[in-house]
Amino acid sequence: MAGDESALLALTPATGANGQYAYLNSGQLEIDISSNNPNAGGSNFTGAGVNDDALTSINDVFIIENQGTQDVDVYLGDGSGNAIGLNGNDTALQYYWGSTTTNSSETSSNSVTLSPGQSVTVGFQIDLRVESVSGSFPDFTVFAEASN
Amino acid sequence: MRPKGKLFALLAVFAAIGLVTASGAFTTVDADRTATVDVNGDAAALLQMNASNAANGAYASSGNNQVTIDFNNGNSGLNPNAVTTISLVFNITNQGTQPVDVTVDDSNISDTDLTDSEFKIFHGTAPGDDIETSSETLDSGEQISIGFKIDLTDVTSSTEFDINLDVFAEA
Repeated sequence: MAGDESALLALTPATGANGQYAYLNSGQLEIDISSNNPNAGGSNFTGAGVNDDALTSINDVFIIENQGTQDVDVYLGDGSGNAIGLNGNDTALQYYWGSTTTNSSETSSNSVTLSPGQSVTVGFQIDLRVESVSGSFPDFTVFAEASN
Repeated sequence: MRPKGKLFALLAVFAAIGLVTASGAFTTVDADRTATVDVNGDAAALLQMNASNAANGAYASSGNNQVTIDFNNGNSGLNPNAVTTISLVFNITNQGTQPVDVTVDDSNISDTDLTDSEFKIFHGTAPGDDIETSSETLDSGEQISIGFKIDLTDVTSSTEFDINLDVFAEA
């Protein structure tokens, strides 16, 4: 067993400013855009959340790195590998590669291949002009499969 | 008698190979992770928008999670046949992690009595400091104040205009 930062598939906050929105909680990567995030406050972000009735895109939040020995195909999804949505609306919540919001990282059809030592960053976008958040926010699952 | 040292050496090599194999390969990883996203009204969110502390802040309010501007505001509104400049109405503060370029747009204006060029949005106190087409950079923690210059010289009768303001902030 290893924490996310040292595991074969390393999941860590990005090194840029938006890495503040992610942190390792008991070794596990967590995204937290709220005042409960231990990075919040001081010279870091002070907003207590995303704006309601607005489209918010946050590039480069966390890094996925292949620390194994084989090429792996990496993508995000809900627990079943399907697109992650908000209230069933797939486009209202979008995880994307790097800083291009249209470059979806969700479902196996949008996977990227990471060679050993390679990494990719993930950003995400939430559209609260069309949906609202009620109850708990959906989890995301990072899938990695050895390339054939 | 066989020297014990060589056997130890051989075992050590096997052990090392075993470790490399066990630590380096994986077929699949599914890692379920938590995301928490709080949603806030304009007054507390990453891009904070709220009424200015200056006197003209009275034209802005933060009801229903959104900053709203009402120049009627209990009075009889703006003068027809006049150009009115109102500065320091509401503030925009960058409460995020990165510097952002901010613009405020009124792109939905389509009224023939009040055109885009007759409804100017600026920052600070100088109406020439346009923020519709020219963005202003806000560092993390930095704030600007938004004002309006409204040209109603060709409006003679009582009219109400509803204008959507789109605030756009991009790193």
